[in-house]
Amino acid sequence: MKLFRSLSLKEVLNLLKLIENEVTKILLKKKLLLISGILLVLISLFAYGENYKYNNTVDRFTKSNSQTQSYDWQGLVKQQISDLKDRLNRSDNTNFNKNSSKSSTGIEIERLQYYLDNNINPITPNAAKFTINFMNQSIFLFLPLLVIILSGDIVSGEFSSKTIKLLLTRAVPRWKILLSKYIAIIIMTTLMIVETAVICIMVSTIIFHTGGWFEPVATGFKVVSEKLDASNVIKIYQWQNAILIYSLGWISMIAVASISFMVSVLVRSTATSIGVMMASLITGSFLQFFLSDWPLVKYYFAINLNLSKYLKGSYEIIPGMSFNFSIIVLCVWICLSLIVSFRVFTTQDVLV
Amino acid sequence: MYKKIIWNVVLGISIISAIVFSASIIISAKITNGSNIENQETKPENNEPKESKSILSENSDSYNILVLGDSLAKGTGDETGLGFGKNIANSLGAKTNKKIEVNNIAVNGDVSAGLLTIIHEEESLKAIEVSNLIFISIGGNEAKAFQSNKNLSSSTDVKTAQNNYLNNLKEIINVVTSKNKNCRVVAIGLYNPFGEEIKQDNLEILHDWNYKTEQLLSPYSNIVFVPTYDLFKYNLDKYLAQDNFHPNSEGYKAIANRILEVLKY
Repeated sequence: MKLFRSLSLKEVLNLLKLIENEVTKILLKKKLLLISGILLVLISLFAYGENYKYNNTVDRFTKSNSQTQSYDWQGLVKQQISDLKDRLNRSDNTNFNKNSSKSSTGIEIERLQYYLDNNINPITPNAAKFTINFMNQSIFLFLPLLVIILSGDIVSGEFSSKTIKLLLTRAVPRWKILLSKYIAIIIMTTLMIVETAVICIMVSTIIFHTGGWFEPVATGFKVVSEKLDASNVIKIYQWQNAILIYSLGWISMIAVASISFMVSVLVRSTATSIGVMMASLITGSFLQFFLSDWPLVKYYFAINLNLSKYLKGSYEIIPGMSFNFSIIVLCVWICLSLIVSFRVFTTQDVLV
Repeated sequence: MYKKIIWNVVLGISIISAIVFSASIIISAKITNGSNIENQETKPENNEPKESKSILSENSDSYNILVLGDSLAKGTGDETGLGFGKNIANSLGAKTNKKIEVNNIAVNGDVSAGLLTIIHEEESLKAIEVSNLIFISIGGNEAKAFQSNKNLSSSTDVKTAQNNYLNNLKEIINVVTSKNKNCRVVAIGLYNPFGEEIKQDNLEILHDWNYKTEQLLSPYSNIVFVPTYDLFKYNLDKYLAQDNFHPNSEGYKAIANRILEVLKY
């Protein structure tokens, strides 16, 4: 295979030039600007809504307990802490609480204590929570759509605008052109994730005024045979949690980008390529609801996109799915789409 | 030139973040698979010195109140955090010059079996010995299990659950009275937090539950059963907390007043 031949330095530089060319093309199309605009507007809206909701809740609380002048969350948190401590002490003596939940109870106490020490109402929205939440909510539909906007026309666009002729007549092997295109969209996807994080952090810090990056959280829950296994729970800080969740978002988006890359090679019109990708993404969320009993469903890429839920230990929708499983499925999808795209692109006849 | 700079920035950012992201994917894989060796030292140090519960002083010029049972005993839902135990302590404190201490070892969501294990613990036994007044609120969570059932639960289920509860309660009362013959014990009855929405059959279960409890307790001279059903019947809006299940501060005050009336100091 020519593709796997060791690349000399000169060829690497050559390839870098090609990638630069592709990235410049994408940047010139002002797509990143468009995506930034969409992100900025949506994130601002969400943050504003969150803030509004929070103020509303506090309002309702103060109104309903008019006899107590201000609503006393500290009392509630203290009560919660003492409850948890009771439970912890009790499980020392008797075995009626499983040992496994002890560490998570400890972290929960630490988290509540953090709120008390720093005088933060637990329901106050902060930048860290918002940034993480945004990724959790957008990882399976919204961000993939943006990735499709970025990468849907990477090859088919050349056909649509008839520039494929100019591209292929250059004295560069076809696989190199395709590889440079692929790396270019990976770069753009990475940039987009970083951009999402930056916009989230900026907007939410401006609106909520509180960071909350050093708040301890519990992670590492596992769902074993429909029960939450908390034996491996560890404490991390919110900022570490955010990096973890964004990295999971990154790998999901690379999977989407790769598949959309393949589709873009297979079809010759940009509109079809974007349409096919959108349909397959939306199919994913349908499948989750309607066919979750069918074991084949779990091998579909769109169902495995929501990796961050494994960190939180939320319920698995389809039995047999785990973090490792989803990562492997996504990697297989990435490899398959690369193989298909390179095969097709290097062998197909281009008639323009 | 301008484009060159942008290209370098873009390339730099993406390479750095790609490295960071891949590293954290490996870390998250480790976390979810449970092999968190490098995080061992951050494992929660929850073995903080066990709070030695204020073991109440035994001298006669203090009056000790012990609260046992479930969330109702704990005071869940009370925005002031008092619960009926501390409400009563406050009212009693205004009347006497004795020092009143409240020891609340109730556990949210506890059932009679749980309470039975708790009162067998050494600390609880000690607390029972030195108490002058003991409040018990238990059984609500067991009785509630039938209310949330959509389909009507078979009467045999109810019977077995109720018998279990009654046996446990009897055992609890035996432990308490054997440890401390002189203290007054107040058992709190169940109320109906569901208002009109409750099914007639379930209401009957609730009444039967209260009735059987009262019947069980009637032979003991120093134990009194205090019903709460009547208190809440027309006052649900006023007395229930946001969760529509636990009493709020008003509700707890009402329960406390009722108990105070029964005790008549």
